[in-house]
Amino acid sequence: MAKETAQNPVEISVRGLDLFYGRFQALKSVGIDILKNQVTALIGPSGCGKSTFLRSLNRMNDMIQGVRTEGVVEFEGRRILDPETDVAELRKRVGMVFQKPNPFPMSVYNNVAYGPRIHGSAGSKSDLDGIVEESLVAAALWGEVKDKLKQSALSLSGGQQQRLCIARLLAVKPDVLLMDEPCSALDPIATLKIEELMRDLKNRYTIVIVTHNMQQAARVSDRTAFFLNGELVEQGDTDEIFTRPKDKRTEDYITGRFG
Amino acid sequence: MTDQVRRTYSQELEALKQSTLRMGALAEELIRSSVKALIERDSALAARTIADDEKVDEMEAAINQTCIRLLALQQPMATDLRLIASSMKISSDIERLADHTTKISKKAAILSELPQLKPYVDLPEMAKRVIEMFKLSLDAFINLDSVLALKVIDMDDSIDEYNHRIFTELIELMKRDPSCINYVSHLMVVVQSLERIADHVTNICESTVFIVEGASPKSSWSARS
Repeated sequence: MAKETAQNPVEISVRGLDLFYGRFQALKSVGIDILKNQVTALIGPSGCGKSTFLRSLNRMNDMIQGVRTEGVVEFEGRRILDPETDVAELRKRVGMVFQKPNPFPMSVYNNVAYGPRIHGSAGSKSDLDGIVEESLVAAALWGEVKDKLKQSALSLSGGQQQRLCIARLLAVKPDVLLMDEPCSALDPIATLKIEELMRDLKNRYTIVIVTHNMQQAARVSDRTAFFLNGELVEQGDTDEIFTRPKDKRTEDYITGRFG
Repeated sequence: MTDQVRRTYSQELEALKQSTLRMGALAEELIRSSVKALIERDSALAARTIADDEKVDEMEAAINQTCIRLLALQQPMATDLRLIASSMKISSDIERLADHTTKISKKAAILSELPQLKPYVDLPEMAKRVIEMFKLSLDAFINLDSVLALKVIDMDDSIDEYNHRIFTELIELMKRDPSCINYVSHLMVVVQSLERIADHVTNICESTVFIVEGASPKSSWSARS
């Protein structure tokens, strides 16, 4: 388990999490502490449960029919799997960035303003302008789009679109950013920009990223968790996991010897 | 689990170990021949040994190049990463211990021109012990045997004892007969070189322990300090 510190207290605590798709058990008694202001990378082969686990942190799995979850996921001391949880509020606080950038077919400005508008969090036009600018700056996109805020978001490059999606997320003031392979559709330079952005963002947010790219996990994360067949096999400080993993299965996976 | 997924990479790592072993075998031969040149007062053998050191230098450069290429192209992790990083360090230790054989050979050439003071007794024994340690250290590396590596590290104490004993004897000789100072001072360099070779062998063993255990017996070398 991750050791919390005064600087990095536990943001999300997961205990004995089981998840079933019908009769298939996709997560088996997963336990992990996600620390505040750290990047936690989830790695493992396809079908190991890492994306399922990520989606359970803001209950995105609820949208899939036949999903049953047991165990405890605590966010700020509240058990978010309880039926009375306000799921919309939860997803605002624990937002998600997906594999492929998915900007809305509207202007750059309106993409970022969308969340604050529907949540009514911006009092005036100038408040909204401020939130849009602040979010685009935080997503390291402002310099590239400040003169084309009225252009369609779809006219941006893939890397810019992904940073726009991050800006859209930041505009609703989340605490946790869940990223599901956010760079898998991007070129290497756009990927490095997102990685650099993650390093900046972790000062203000807690980040959990699923990635198939182990070098990316090694580069950007503070903590790494290795999943296999629905089990969390090993978790630890990233430099420990990548230089001297304790479990043979982790070693086989990260050295690329997984048959 | 199999190595089939990265067969070529696994073969390259094995080839790296074999290259390091070959470099070690050549260096071992240089220790042997430098000491033989000294004992048998064979200046021609000393010259050949000095010339052969260049081959060891070339092998070190080739191993380093292989390691850098593997680091750049394969992004090694865990044991593989430790093996590659340690191979660079081990080849550097072998290169430096081979440099000491050049030093011994140079002294062998000089001493072959001077009348022999007395027959060598402890020195050939010390050299035999150093060669034995080196051979075992290469066995420990190639088989990734940290238990053997730790045993070899312990053997270094006996080399220090030889070093101390021979030095004491040589100092006594100089006290008794100052005319032998020139001869003895050359011999002292030989003894010191053998002692330094054993230190490099100890380093090689520490690298092997690091590859296997993920931590070096000397905490200063380990990230887990």
